[in-house]
Amino acid sequence: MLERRYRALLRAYPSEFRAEHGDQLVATLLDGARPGQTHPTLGDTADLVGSGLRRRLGLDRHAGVETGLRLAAPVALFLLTCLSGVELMTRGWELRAGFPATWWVYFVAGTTVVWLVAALGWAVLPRTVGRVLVGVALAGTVSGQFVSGLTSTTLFTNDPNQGRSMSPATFGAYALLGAVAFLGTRDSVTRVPVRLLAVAGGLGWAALSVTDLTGRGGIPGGVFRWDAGDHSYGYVKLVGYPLLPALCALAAMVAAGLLAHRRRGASGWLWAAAVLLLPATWLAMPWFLTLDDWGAEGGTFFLSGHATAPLQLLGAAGVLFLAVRSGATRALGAGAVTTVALGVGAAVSAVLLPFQVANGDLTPMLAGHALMLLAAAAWRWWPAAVPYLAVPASAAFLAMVWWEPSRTGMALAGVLLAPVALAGLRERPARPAVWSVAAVALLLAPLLFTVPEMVFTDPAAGAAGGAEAFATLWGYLAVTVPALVIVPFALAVFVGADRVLRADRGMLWALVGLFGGGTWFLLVTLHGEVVPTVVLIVAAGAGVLLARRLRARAVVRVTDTEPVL
Amino acid sequence: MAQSIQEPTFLILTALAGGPLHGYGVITEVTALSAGRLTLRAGTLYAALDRLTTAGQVAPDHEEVVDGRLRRYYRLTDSGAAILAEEADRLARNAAEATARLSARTSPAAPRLATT
Repeated sequence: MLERRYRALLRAYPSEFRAEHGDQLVATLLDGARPGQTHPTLGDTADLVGSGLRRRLGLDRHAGVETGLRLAAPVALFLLTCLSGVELMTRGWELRAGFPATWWVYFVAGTTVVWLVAALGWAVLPRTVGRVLVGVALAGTVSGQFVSGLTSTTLFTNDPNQGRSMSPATFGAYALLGAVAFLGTRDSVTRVPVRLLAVAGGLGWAALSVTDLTGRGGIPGGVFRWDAGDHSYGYVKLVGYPLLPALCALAAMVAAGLLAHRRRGASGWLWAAAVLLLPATWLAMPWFLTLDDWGAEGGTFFLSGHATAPLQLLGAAGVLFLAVRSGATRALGAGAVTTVALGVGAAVSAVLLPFQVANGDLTPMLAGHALMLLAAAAWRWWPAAVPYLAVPASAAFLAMVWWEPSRTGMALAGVLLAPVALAGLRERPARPAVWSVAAVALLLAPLLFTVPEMVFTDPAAGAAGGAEAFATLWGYLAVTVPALVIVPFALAVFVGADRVLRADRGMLWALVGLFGGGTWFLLVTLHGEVVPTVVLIVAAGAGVLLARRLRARAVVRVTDTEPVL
Repeated sequence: MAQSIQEPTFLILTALAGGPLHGYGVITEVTALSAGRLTLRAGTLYAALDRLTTAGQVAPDHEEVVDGRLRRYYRLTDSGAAILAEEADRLARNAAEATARLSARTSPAAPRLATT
């Protein structure tokens, strides 16, 4: 009985590790079990799940990441407390103010309470218990957000009468900070008073952030009130005080990282700063377009928001750079290009398919989403079918460009998937890394979800999205987050080219990838979307052909599965 | 130039310096070595063993099946022994230096302590 339960926990590990160490690991656990013990202890459970996840994410192969997570975990818990405090106080105020109370409001409030309990547990209870609580809160938040995509009444929409779900930016911050808190075991802060101080500090900052709940505007507090006819609504815009500690903590960590790096070449602090950078900017991400549409005041909002868009871009690029430098691609294994492209595509489709169906948003994009999900599944179980699913998926997204020009940005991202996925098809390893990509994709999904044109289901609303008001480069960046998609894709192209041609021509391909990505970025930024779509498809096709030609010349030996194209 | 190794790793290598051990053997040995202060959990241990095996510092030695349970024994390699010796030497030098400075610091107080 106990053995079976331990083996169930071992499912957290990748199968290769289980095959290699599973039996002896279970034997060791059973050797250490008390007589008559029937259930795994809490400590062993947390240890196995945490170790398994770290193995799946490839984090345990680089000492710097491990150290970085330990340093980042207390900061993550401080930010989580702050975030939860703001959420809870705002939901409470909304309920007291007589706002429409759907189950989702109670769910978010409940999840928030669990986060606060988890933070308190982390501070005062044994480490394992705190970690399990963080795991519970994380699981609740992630599953709740995805369930909300399946029920039309709880969607995050542009309509303030309906939109009561957790904003994707908030969700992204919860997911990433929660993952950091969960994975950063044996964190650097060990003394209970200091931990309590972090939790209390987070709560205090949250209280400061929502002091202006009832005021009109409320820009410094990050919450403002919107009046529509007989109703008033409160909105949390986490651009106020929460941003400040996040950025201060980051600045301190980066400084410490650079100092430590100069002194003894340690990279832990830099890693810590890197893993926190993205959620911190998510916390700071406002919704300019909707704010503008709802008549909120400008000023601080716009200034800080426009600064966060390039910050996000830099953050995403920096994290990916560090990850690649530290062997993330080795962790992904051969076939990383296809795995990443299909993984990201499937994650986005998994979020958007139920969302759009629930909204009666019936367009060719739905077929694209379904085919993308099938292609990702086929990559794992039936690789020969991938091209026959990925190409029609891209075609469906391409049809969307003409079907509804206002949503070309999304269609464009979808169209890119198939050529990128096919570029790495020949390198399929025996067992593609699925979970690490799934984790990355899970974190990317909310970022993509913040794109207004995905959220708007009314084409007229999408077309009238106020893009003219943001004709500047930064303005467009702030509302067109799909531009960020180019980062992982550029990485995928680079890694794939490097794998195909190895070091001698790696630099050439890096330049090609950068040039292609840069061109794409500029064209999209300049609003001409149909033309770059066509150009890109042609260029991508030519690129794939060229890569195959060059590969045939440069690589004599084909080591993996037989070609399917 | 090599970075100092962390205490759990140091204790695992020390445990294996006495001869090959299986997983649970390493756990009990590390607990004993640290006077009960450090109890390794199985997941942490095997992550460390896997990392050390990849680094060539430990190697699988032999396997036994006891009561239907697989026991794989690990041994310290020459490379692992060299790293452990280097680390032990470094710690010993640090400890000696600390002791010397502490005794120099406390020496004025010593006579008074001796009289009480």
